[in-house]
Amino acid sequence: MDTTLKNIKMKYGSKKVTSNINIAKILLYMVLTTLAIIYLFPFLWMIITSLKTEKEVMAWPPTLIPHTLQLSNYPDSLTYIPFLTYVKNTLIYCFGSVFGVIISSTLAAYGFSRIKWPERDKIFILVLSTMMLPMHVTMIPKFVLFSKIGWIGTLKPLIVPFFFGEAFYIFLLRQFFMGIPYQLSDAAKIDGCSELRIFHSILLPLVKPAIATVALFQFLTAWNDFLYPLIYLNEEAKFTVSVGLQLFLSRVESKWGMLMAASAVVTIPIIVLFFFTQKSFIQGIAMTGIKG
Amino acid sequence: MKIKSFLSFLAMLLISVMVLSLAACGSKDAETKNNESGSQVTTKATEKDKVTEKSEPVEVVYWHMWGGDWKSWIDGQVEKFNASRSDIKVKPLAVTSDGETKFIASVAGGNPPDVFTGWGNVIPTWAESETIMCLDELISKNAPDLDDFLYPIASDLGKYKGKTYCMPINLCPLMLFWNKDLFKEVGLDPEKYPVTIGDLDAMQDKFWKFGSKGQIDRMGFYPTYLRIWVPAFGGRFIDENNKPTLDDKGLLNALKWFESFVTTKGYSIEKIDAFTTSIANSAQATNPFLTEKAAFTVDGVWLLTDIQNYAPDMNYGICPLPYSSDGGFENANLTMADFDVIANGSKHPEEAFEFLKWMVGYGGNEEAAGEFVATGGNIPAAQKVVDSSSYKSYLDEIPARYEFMKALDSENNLTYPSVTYGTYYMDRLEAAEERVMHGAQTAEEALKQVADEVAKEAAKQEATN
Repeated sequence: MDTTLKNIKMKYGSKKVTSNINIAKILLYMVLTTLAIIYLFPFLWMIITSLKTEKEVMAWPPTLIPHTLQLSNYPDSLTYIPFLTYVKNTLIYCFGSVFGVIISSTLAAYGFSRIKWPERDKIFILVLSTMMLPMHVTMIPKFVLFSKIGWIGTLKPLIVPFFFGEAFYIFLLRQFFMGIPYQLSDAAKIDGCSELRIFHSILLPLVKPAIATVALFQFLTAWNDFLYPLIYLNEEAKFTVSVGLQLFLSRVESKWGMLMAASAVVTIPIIVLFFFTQKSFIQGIAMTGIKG
Repeated sequence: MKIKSFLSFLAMLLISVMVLSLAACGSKDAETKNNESGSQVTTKATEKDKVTEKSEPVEVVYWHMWGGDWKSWIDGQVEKFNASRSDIKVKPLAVTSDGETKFIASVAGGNPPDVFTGWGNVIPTWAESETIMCLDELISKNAPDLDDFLYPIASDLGKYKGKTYCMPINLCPLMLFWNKDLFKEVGLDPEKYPVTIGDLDAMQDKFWKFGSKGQIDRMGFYPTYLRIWVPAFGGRFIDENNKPTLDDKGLLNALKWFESFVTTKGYSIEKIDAFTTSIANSAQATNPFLTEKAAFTVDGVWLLTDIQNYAPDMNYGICPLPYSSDGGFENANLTMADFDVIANGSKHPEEAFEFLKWMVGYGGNEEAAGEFVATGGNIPAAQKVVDSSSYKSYLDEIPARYEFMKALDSENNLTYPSVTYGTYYMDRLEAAEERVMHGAQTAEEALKQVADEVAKEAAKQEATN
């Protein structure tokens, strides 16, 4: 008798729960879809504008679907400015700075977390405090420095500083390093490993997600960077993509269609990068979440 | 797994799209590059023929903020200059966004260009901070009669504290446009344009049309940008001692006239706001004057090209801004300009000045300068350039352009106040205009507030100077 009642309760009970879950799911998806559309809209608008003629770009009320498709905006925009040169320069900047940042920041983070030395934590605070200096305050002194060395007009002022560490990444990597059990390094030390050996054979492979995150952040920063390429580069042949795109703008008549087309093409590598690093990126966040 | 393979497929697709487009443009890119380097080689060859005894041509680095099609125009003009001179070679660079930031950073960092083309009200601040070079010495040596050559307003524009700091290369006067077709529609004589403010008030009243919901479908005239109208009311921004004149009668009258639109004339500011916000960008086809939603507009010579492109069938006229019969000046236009400056720390100021002279048309360069200004669709800074045959053919293209020439020689023209807080001053006047039009303050109160604000800013600037 009891078991039958239990069975009935369970049967009916579970149905209620399932329908509750279904409604909740539907609502959730509706909210998420709306938010997704809102967030995606600027990007979608960029694509839509890139397919319009110049006249339609300025039409009022604005059209959501172009009346006449102007696909020629894409090849036109890529030849209007020396796009390939700009992409090449930007890639040199991106990969160069990513490489520099990984080497320097991992080493620094290791030193700040896995080795005990006097006043280590105070000096770490000092390093962190450099993040508080606004860009525009350090801009001129850095410019003067590079001017005296004679690097203005080349890509060197953009890439080389990243070989000397970057506070935010040092901080991020230090957190990861601190999450790895010290027994591993102790065991390696007993086996006779030097610090450097521990660093590159044992710890570096363990913080791969963090390194992927650092690489991704730095790539994005370098790809989108506008101010520094603007002030350091003096020749069109050395411009990066962000500075080069502004050549579509003009005081009186900007070429919006072509600008949007070029911008869309410029966004593609970032999207592709996200697809490939998404897993490690999320993993990295999860790890930070758990480890504190 | 399905999602992963889908994402990988999408990624591959996107990469191939990008690679294909780059490959498609890559060949074209190489072509254009070859053409560029080719033309450089030929000019160098002709230069070498001339320059046998002389040394290498001096390189003048030139930065400007023109992008889009104008960049190709400037590049072409610079090539013409380089072809005409064997001793100077100008190297242009386009920096459309934040060009001023780059310019200031480079001067501060000790690695400036030689010449920079700018606009706006930056001369006082740049002169005060010694970012740009005083041109008096170069002028007295190489162009002693420059003041006679330029229009009076062009000479004034370049001066700060009595010294010349820049060379205006073109002028931007603003004039009143009126729609002759709409005039006929409401029963006005299409050839009789408003001469005084009183005329304008009476005429524009006839054009307002409202829709079924009470919204504005068409307006006659609605004033904006107080600074444009100040000269027509006989007002001024600063006196002879460079002190702000916020108690100036002309300035007050101009603001009171603005105020009258929302008080005595009874137009609703909410409706006007709704009307103006529905017009997103006034530089293109949505300009209400072009779509016949406004009978009058105040604009520069560039509007003529827009009319040709977007409303070629419109019958319109151009006249000087109507002036106030109560102490106003006739043909008084607020004039702005594009100007060239030489950076402080430039390595070749003499050669840079030669380029400046060429751009403005001084010393026999009228034809070249005329073509330069005409190709850019601008107005020259000197009478001789206006008279050149190359500029005349530009004027003949759209005869309405001749009307703008009438505004240039006027002694009543005014420019931005030449003080370091000039931009702040103009900004505060605009804010005051906003407050008055929205009924938050009367004209007198608003100007009093601007006077206080400007006085504080002026004192602050004096202290740091």
